[in-house]
Amino acid sequence: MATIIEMRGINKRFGDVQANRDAAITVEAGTVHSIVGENGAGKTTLMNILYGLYQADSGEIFVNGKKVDIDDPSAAIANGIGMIHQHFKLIPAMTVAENVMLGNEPRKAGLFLDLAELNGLTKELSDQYGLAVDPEALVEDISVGIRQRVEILKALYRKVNILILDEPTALLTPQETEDLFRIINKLREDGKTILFISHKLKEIMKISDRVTVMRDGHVVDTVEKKDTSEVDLARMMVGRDVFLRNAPPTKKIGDVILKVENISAVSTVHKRPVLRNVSFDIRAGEILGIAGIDGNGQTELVRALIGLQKLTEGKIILHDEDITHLSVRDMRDAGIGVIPEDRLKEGLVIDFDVQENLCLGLQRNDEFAKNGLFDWKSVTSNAEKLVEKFDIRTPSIKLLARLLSGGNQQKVIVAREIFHAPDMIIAAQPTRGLDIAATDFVHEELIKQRDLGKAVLLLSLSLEEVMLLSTRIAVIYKGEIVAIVDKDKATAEDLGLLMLGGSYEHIQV
Amino acid sequence: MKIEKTRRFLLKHQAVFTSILAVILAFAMVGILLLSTGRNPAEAFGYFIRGAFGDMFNFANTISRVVPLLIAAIAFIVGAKGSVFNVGIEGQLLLGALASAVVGWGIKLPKVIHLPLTLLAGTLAGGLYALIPAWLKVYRKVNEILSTIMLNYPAFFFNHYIVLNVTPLEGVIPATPFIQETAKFAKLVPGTRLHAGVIVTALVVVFAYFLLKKTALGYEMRAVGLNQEAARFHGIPVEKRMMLSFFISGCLAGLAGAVEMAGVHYRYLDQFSPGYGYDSITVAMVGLLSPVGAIFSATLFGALKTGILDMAVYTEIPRQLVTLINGIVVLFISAKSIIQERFKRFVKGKDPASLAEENK
Amino acid sequence: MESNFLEIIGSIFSLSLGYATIRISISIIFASMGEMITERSGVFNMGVEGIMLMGAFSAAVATHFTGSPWIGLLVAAVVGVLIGLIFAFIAITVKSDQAISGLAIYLLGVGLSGYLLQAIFSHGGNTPKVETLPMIHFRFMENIPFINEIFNDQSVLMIPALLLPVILYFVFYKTPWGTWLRAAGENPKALAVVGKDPIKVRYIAVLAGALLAGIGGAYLSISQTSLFGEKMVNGRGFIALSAVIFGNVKPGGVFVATLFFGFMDALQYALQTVIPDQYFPREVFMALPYIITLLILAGFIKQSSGPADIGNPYEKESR
Repeated sequence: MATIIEMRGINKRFGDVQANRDAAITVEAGTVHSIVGENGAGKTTLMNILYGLYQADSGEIFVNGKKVDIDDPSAAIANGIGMIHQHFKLIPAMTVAENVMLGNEPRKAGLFLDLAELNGLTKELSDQYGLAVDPEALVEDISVGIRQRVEILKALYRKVNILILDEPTALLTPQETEDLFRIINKLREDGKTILFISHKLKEIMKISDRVTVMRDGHVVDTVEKKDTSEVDLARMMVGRDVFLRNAPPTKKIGDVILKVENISAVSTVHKRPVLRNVSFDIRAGEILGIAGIDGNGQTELVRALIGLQKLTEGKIILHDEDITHLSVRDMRDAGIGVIPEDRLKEGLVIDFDVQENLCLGLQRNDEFAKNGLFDWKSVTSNAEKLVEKFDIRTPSIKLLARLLSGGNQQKVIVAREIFHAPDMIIAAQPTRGLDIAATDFVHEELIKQRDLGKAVLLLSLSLEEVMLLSTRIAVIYKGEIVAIVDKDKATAEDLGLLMLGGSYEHIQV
Repeated sequence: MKIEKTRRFLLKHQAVFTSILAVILAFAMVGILLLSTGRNPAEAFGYFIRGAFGDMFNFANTISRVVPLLIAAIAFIVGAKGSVFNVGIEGQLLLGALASAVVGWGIKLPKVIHLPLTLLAGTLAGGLYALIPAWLKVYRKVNEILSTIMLNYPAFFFNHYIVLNVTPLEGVIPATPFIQETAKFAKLVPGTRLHAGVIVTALVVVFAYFLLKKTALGYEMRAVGLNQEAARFHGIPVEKRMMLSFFISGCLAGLAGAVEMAGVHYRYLDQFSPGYGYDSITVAMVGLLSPVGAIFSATLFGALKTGILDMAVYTEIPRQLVTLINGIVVLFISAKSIIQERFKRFVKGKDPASLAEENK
Repeated sequence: MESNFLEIIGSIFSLSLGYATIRISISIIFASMGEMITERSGVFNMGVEGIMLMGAFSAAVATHFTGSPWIGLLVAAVVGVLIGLIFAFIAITVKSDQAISGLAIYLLGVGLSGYLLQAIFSHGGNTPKVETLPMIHFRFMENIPFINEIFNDQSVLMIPALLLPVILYFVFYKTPWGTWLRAAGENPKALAVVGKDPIKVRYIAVLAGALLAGIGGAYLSISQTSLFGEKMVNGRGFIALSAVIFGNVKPGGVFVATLFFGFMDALQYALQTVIPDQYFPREVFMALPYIITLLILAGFIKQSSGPADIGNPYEKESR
């Protein structure tokens, strides 16, 4: 079989992050070649480079043995490469045919749209590849699965030979996924090459011919599907690293502080379930870490716990009190501190200064406001106290938060939430985008709070972080908690497998 | 090192300097325009300064024009701080003036009650009218810039109708009858437009400053204005605070109309507002949306309006110049981000250290 | 009493009302059609009123100095494009908030036209009378009832005004450019991904809209009347905006909506002569377009939504 795509020595850096490190991949023509990896492994970056959306810092791309420069998507298309993103680039108010041929519409007399051709050609293409669509249907009226077919038709119309699919099954129902696989197989029969990015092991094992595993920006290995298994892939993805640093062991575990019972929620946007029957509890003095790939319900879970996400069923109980239906403010007053996953959008008011940010959410507390009148003296003294205690590097507490470094911004949030939260702390991606020093700081604080007898719920995209800090570890997959284990009983490979939807039987709990 | 210090100072206060720069650029454009139509800009500006500040008489008149501008600008600022862009100040102001004119004329009460009641009527009229676009914004997601401008017209027509058909007409000009003596503001400087409403203006500024900076409520409103998502995340009732910002903004707009009525015209005149509502937006934005800045900005524009009268008398330059300046200033303010970028680059020059810091 | 009432109704709803409707609507049709093009591309230009004012003013001035209303018309179109360029730059390239930029253009139009009026013609609040565009008489209509009374002997600009909705319908739905225009307004990234530049499309749409708004203003000063008076546009620009919303940003709908508002205005004038204000305040009619627009925006009157991406600046680098 001929090699159709080869990428060598690809390096790409975004600011502080090395997204691709000497990545290399060889793709055979007429195969379905999957790329797997955790969040941040670099798979989407690599493919975006292939499609011309990004330029690599160094490295080479070969198409059909010939070196090419892909500066933008039209160059990619000229080389026969098409890409379908996770977020479709379609126009809902227009018809299928209009979308497929956008920008390259067939014309009558050079001026007018040849609608007959438009619809006819679309039908022809769809028949040819078994992609049943109605050319005259409006995209807004058709399902997600069929919209994906429209995207595929768009690529086929532009005569691509290589089709990159980025997390194509993320929004599909199981039936739609089956249909997609049928289409992929047909495309392969026709000699097309498919690059399939995913983190769902079951699907990869089903559809692929070959699998490339990426981790931390570089390629770990490329294997034939028949030579590997879900467990092997999980192991490669997560690595056999032994975690040298270990957190000080848990001292004493007390009573249950938070009890979550069977909560479920539905997304208002997609009308799909985002949380399914989630139950767990957290005790004083322990850290419960929830590991999972991004987009499996972590965000919704946090929002549910602070009152921003409507639940279709279930209860949240704090200290034996049902807080499920309280307002956001009351839930926080009940004793929960939250370090949000998006510090700029949710954690801080970036145009407030440091001292104003250090009392965000607390502005009604007796400490800061008596009868509605703001007591600036106590705001200032609170700020000074926290800046010192948490070593927040700022020239003045009147400095706008916007001007702080990412790490110090996070320190502000951590300081505020930890210091004023009596019982429980929810930390969502608390070290995202932070350097090593700041990360260590946050870790130390969380351990300190645990030892002070607070309950800590940690959600992180980094399995390493979860394994480092947690007393017990849970895995969330597709809105469900698929396992909760004690730290010493869990291995990275097992957890990785669970995070990717692997089968439970492999796990010994 | 002196240069370095100046640079840092300019950068730290770049917003203020950008604002000043926008005004200067606007004036420069106006100067060019004057030249192109054959007038002498220097002479024009000379007359204008004299007309605004030349003597006690002119100075008093300038302050009198600052009064409605400043109150209306504060109305805009309070709204804007709470993420509400109230362009309907004009309409709310008109309704406020009418309501206060009716109360001022129709009832007989001792001054100590009558004048405050008159002002209260105007304030409430403006506030209640503002609740319409407020509700539309919060519960129906209607862009308030569009809805408030749209609502200015019905307000004007309504007033027009009332003046012509409901309240008795005295004379030829469409207006309500004169208000009672007990509802009028005393004149501070006889023979000028300056009246005791200045005190109300000062109170409004203090009120706004106090509300925004010294209350928990103001903190919450500001948080909503700066980052709605974070505010909601921390338990601040976003919808309620927006409605409140809108309501207060409308109230102050109504108050502006009432004060102008009770201090200068003593009745509701069909065309009494030369666009105070739209001017207030310019004043507020040039003043960088702060109550203190608005004082300077309102003084500038009040001076413009007064000085222009002298200038119009002694030169042939038309009064409409003010509206033009207004338009150009808003134009430059709306392009503020680009001016700010240029300003920053100019100040930084090719200094590698500061450029490196910028790219961090 | 009853015959009186019928007489009154009869005198109002005569064919002359139809004539007046067309006559009044022409200027708004240009503006609303223009704004429709702009909004279809995803840009919201609130400064239409200001552009119309400058169009009316420059048409009158140019006609005054050259004696030819056709040159006046041309100048108005050019002035419209120039102001549109300023707006396009600030809204599309600088990516300022479109509503604020539109407001700036409105204020600029009011200020500039008012100022230049006084600067050039020092007297009064208006220009001297100027030549107007010709009225056009169709012989073939003379014997057709209704059509003759309503459409005959109107301004020559009536023809392009009536043709615009038809032409634009074809362009929007039957040509590739119309597809790209609509794509830019719905999902500019989808357009970018296939190699067409949404920024270019938006610029063209804004300029086209401004050109038409300029002509709409010109009609007021060199056809409907024969001079320019300060503030003569009198809210028509905002009525055009309302018509675009009311008509769902579609050629047929916007045209009908514009005629509806024009009819309301004509009706209001007719009633004024017949019914004293006590019984039926004409201010209600004058306020009607604005109130209807707000009811639509609030969702009380069901409308399908306009272009999905309207009001959002297009960011090239985002995902």
